[in-house]
Amino acid sequence: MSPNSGADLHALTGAYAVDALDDLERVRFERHLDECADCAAEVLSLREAAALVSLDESAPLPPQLRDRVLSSVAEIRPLPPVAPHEAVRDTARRFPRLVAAVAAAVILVAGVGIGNWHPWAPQPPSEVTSASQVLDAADAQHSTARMPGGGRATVVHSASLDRVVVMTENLPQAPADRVYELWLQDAKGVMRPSGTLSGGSDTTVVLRGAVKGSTGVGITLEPAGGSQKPTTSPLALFPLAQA
Amino acid sequence: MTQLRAVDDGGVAPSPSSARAEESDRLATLLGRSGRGDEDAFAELYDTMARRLHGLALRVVRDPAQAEEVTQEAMVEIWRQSSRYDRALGSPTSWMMTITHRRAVDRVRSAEAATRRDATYHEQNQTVEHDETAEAVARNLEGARVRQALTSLTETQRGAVQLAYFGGYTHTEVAGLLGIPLGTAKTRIRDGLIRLRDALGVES
Repeated sequence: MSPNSGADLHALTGAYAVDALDDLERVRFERHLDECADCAAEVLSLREAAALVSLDESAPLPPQLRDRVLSSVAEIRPLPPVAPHEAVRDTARRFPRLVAAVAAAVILVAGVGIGNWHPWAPQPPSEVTSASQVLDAADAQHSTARMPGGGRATVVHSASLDRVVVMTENLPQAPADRVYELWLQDAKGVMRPSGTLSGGSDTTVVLRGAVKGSTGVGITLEPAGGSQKPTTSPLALFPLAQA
Repeated sequence: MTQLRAVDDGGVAPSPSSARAEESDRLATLLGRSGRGDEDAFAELYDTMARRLHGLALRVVRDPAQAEEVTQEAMVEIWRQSSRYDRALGSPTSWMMTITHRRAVDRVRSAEAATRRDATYHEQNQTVEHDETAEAVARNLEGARVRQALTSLTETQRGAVQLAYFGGYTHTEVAGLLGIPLGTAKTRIRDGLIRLRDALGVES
């Protein structure tokens, strides 16, 4: 399913170990790591080596940092140990129904990847949610669809972070007077505008706003500047699992 | 030739690998206690690791104010994730550096940060001139070993690894910066790290 051959992916261990992949490559490579014990072991060993290189990079600490760190952790409960497979099974149970819903909605479902936990990837959720935090979230769930005009879009949803990320690959540039608009759909079917992108280059965006209560993510082609309501039928719809 | 200085307490330098193993055990224990909410253990972890983590953040992010934020976020993240640390995930040091590095790279890649970083860089680039990896070394036994290991990389491998690890660039960007084909950049990064690993005798 992946356009990258296995051999190509193996060669990414080094770049992955030093965080030199873009978000999309990283998600793909982490899927590969789930299946390739050799790569996983190599990544760990290369990280050990990289950690030694920066051994001497110690820097004097800002004076109040210690107090700030210690007082903030006093207010944060450490996460419980993870049970990596639960989230996956849970999602898999839900997906048949969701896939049917998607298929009914015009598009071709190219494949549904289910996010799971990558023991070698730290997950950094924090105040400001970045795309990579969503992609790394322990409960991240992916689904990918082929776009009718070419290219693919992948939606990654983290219920715990309450955010959705959309990643596009090889999505053609929208016509000059058009944009791709991203929508969050609520249980009543109302679409809320959540961002736009122009296509033409691979893009990763965090959708605007909270996701809770949303049942799906849609992508439409809209007049430049975007619309408040979809004016065309969706190019793709992705169901979101409810927390 | 190289002046070797024993790590902290003068005396007889312990062999690097056994000292490292002991230190790893100690840090793993502290992580385990932190995961159960032990703030004293975490404070000890901070006192052991924060300078290094901050050094790494500063190296990648460059802007001192942003580096400080990255270090703080990373330390809090380490606290949150501490119960999930497992020896199978590598040494405690590498695990914590990985979390910090990732944070630093995220920061440096965000557009807003890039602007701030450039502005700061131009304002105060005299404070961020510490560049070449080799220069950063030679403070202690491990440093000397690392410097030695770095000489086993070719010039081009070293350049690619540095841009990726300390520059926070993606391999695609590294290829662009060096004017080499994409596949070559990822291979150089990987080959460079493999040589380094083998020269350092990293076991994993």
